Amino acid sequence: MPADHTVIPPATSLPRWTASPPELDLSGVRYSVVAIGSAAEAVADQWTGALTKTGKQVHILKFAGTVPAEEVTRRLEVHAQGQLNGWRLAMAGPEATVLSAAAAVRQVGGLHCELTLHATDLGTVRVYCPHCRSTTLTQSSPGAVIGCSGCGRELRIRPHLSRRLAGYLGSDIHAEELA
Amino acid sequence: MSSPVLTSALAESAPSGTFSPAGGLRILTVRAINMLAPSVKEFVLAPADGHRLASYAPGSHLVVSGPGKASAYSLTDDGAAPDAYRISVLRCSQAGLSGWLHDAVGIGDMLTVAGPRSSFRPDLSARHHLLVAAGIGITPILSHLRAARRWGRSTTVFYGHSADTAPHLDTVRGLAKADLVEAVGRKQITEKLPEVLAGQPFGTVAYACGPAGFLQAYTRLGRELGWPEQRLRQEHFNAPELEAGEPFTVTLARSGRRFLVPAGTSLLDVLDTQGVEVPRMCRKGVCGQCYVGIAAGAAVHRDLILSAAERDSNRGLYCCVSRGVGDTLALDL
Repeated sequence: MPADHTVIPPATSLPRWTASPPELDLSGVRYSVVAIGSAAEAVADQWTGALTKTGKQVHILKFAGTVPAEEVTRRLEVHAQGQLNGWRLAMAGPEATVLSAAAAVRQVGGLHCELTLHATDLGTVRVYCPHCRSTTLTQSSPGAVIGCSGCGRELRIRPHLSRRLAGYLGSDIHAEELA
Repeated sequence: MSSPVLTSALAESAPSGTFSPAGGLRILTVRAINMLAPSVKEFVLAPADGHRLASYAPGSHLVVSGPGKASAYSLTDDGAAPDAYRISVLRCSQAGLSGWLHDAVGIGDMLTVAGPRSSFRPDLSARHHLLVAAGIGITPILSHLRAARRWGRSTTVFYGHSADTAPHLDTVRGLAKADLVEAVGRKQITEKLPEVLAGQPFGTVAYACGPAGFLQAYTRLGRELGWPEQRLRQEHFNAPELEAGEPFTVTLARSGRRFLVPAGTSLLDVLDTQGVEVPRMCRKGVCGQCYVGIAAGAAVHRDLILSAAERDSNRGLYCCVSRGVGDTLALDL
């Protein structure tokens, strides 16, 4: 195992967030614009402005930064289930919350092209442990070693993100040692 | 009809009745013929020797060939471990394959078929499935409906038909029950289709089959209602009449030979003239036999098989209908 954890070919599953929020696809007819935390509000306002200018129906949802990711995710899942085809979601907020809520919307049938996502904060990551299947929230980034909140194993955060699980892959750093 | 129609490719590759994976050419026996509607006959095809038939994805079609022509027909069962391949053939014209099937083919006769092939399969990640049919376009939709019932998938069916001819209507009613929206005649179809499309839950994927004008209306309405292209699937049963196309030059990458393909002449015809053998059946961009890899250059895709993403990948083309641009096209031949 090489000392560094560079992946060859380069990891393509890592999110490529842009510094400024992405343009919205205007082919939908009804939009929900979601802001999570105060840093996301300006982004949501920018999106809302672009949508109202083109006469789209816009529904605005704002969550305080203190609302847990699970709560935001649950609310958005219910919200998506109540929509009709032709709906689009634009969401800005902390990466971990945005990915988790987007995974729930995909789970109810949302397509990649129907979701516009923007991360305002990369400080916290969700790490999925394939050994015990729990997810750990941690102030860390790929490459680091953390303790799993489910089984206590030492997990290295791999540069691989699952959109479905909304988490980075963690793996036991001792898994390949001889017993 | 007393003997099967053999093509040279068939004679070499597929002995009668052997189990073959989806896609190969084979001979099947007509086990039964049922009159479904005044001009619609169902043909029940099975291997003469009792070999098993390959399962198929719902919405698949079988390419059936007759004297000098071939056509694709949708299989109407759910496709899981089929005891036979059932197709429903609308008699379109005396001259076409449907006229020959209706008039010349009887029980016990043998037919050369290719497939089953699928370019219209259900999207298993969809939360709801909207099945949309007009007229004889009900055939792949019936296959989808049967599979949806077998696997318990959430489904709405839209079936537009004329007052006097509605193939499979009783079966569709029996399977779809309250999930069926029926529209009788052009006026009702025009009124009800927009309502149905406008009311589908987020996560719905629609599958439509019907005449070209109906499919155009379906696509236009779907787009207006904000449906992404991936949610608007369709299966054509009439290949559209194609323009003559621009003349172009094609290069065969392996031999370096170059030919001019004039306007109005297909790439397949030019390859034939030059002695380059490419398998083919339908000659209208439906059956998928004449696929040729692209080594370089740009292509104008005019088939009904490749998805937008597959066209963009530019890996290959169907040489019966698709063409090159200028002198850029080089084929992996």
